[in-house]
Amino acid sequence: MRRSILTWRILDDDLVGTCHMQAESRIDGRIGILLLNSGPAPRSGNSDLPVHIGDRLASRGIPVFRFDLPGLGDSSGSPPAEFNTYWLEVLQGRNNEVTLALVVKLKQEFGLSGVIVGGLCAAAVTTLQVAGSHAGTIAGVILMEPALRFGEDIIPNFSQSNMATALHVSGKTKLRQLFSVREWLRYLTGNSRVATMLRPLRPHLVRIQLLLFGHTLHGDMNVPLFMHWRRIHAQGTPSFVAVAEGQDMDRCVTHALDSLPTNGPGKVTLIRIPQTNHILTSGQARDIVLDAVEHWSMAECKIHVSAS
Amino acid sequence: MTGNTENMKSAIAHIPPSNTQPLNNPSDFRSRTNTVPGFFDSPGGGQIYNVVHYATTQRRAAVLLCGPAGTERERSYPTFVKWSRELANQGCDTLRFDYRGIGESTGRFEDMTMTDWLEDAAFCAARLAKISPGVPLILHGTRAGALIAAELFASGVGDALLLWAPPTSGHSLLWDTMRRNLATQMMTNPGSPRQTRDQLVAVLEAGELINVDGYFWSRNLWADAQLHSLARPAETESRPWHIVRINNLATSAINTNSQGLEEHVRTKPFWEDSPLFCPSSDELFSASLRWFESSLHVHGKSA
Repeated sequence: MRRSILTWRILDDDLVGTCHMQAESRIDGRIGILLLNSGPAPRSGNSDLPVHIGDRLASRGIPVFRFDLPGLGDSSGSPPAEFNTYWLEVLQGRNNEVTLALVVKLKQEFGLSGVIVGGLCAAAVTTLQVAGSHAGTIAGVILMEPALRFGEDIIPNFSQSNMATALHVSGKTKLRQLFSVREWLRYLTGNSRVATMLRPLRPHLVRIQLLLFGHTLHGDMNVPLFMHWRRIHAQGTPSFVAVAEGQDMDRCVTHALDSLPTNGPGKVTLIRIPQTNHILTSGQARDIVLDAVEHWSMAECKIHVSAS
Repeated sequence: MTGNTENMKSAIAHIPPSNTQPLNNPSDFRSRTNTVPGFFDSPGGGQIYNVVHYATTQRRAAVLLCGPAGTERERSYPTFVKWSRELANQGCDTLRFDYRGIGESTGRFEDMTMTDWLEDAAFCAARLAKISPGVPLILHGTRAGALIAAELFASGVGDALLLWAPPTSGHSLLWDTMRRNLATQMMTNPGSPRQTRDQLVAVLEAGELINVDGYFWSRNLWADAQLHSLARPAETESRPWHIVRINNLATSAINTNSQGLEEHVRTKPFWEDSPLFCPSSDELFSASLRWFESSLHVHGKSA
């Protein structure tokens, strides 16, 4: 198995990517996998996990492509100034168009019948946004530590009304927040002292929340992103999710899964990795992810190959 | 969302159909970016990923960048891309590469040692000399790469040497990396079992792998690192060299001789965690470019 470099002009940027593919294998009609940058890291990611995924899957006949998005790694484009500004731009769709364009181009050039898209953290955000906005474009999603939460530590200065802020808050703002949708969500979902007192009423309150807002998520969850996931799920698109056990995203994903329709056609495969961190660099995360992604991808790609 | 969808439809419309554009068109890419990313087939087996940044003005030198390894590579990547583009604008063909077992290059990290990476650097230096004949070859090493570049220089390769933040040895670099890794684990994963560096070393010496920042270190890496101390150029060295140490103090020259310059530059260590995507290294770049100018002038080999 050899790697090769792709240099593609996409939407006025010169993108550099790495292709993992068995030289002798025919891939026409197959499903390929596109992995996006883990946050602003180069396309090899943190501790080269995406590289290992590429090698492992390619050895099983699944072509894998990793591209540096504009401004990152070896690609052209304006680099982000700070991690926080990059994060905000990702939430606002910085990488959505280029990701969609890459999916289309990969299908054209390699004759793929479909493309699974994914990656870690910010990559999972872009994946959900694109897959949720374009029904049927993406064959599956790989969500590693998907950032489903608007934590104050994640986005310190975001000003939109449905997002958390870490700026100093005045008494007036606190009062306004007290009666905000977010605060009511906290009550309703048992995430506050008042909610604890009202525990016996909780099942009824949750039903009311579901009726009013269409979900039962906590107030600091990224509801629009979750809605994308729900749409993907409703379309029957399979999801592979990997989280660090016991950490923030584990709690968020578990909570989000409770709000996904249990009878939806989409299938969610969740693995919870013990004793690791958000970027999956500690403990045995690498081997666990590799085995699980391989198992999931083989199953999903076989399904699509036989269907086509 | 509708506007966003329209933008995406427009984005798709801009993609040329496959029969009008070759699958992979490196010549177009080079003409637009002055760079060529690709793989060298390593004589030791495997593929060495490299990016050549071609000089955008009259070519005066060729620079081989021997970068940091492991996590330090990931964090410093934007700085080296920026530095490579700056060097290309200054008339230097610049080659950066990934050591085998790291990043885009093939091979398993756990099978590699600093000696293997030294071979990679020597191979890339020879390739760069072929790509850019007739101009001085400058070796530039940073962190682990500084140890490698200095050894290569001591063996007679290259016409000049630039080192950024060299550790005293491979052993001290790994020892320090272990300390930072353990501290990070304590903060980010307080539930994980506590270990000390001595315990990790005992595990290594027993022949098991240890996970440091997601890279699996082997006993061979540990043992081999002890063989690589900083090969500081001798006082009698006739080729130009420059060692830059990073600190929070004012920029100052601390040692000079006929061909060598050692100085402190005030800048943030860009290979460490930072909230910035690419921490400012302006003073570091300026100090290094000043030295480039003087060493190229002294060397008198520029094309």
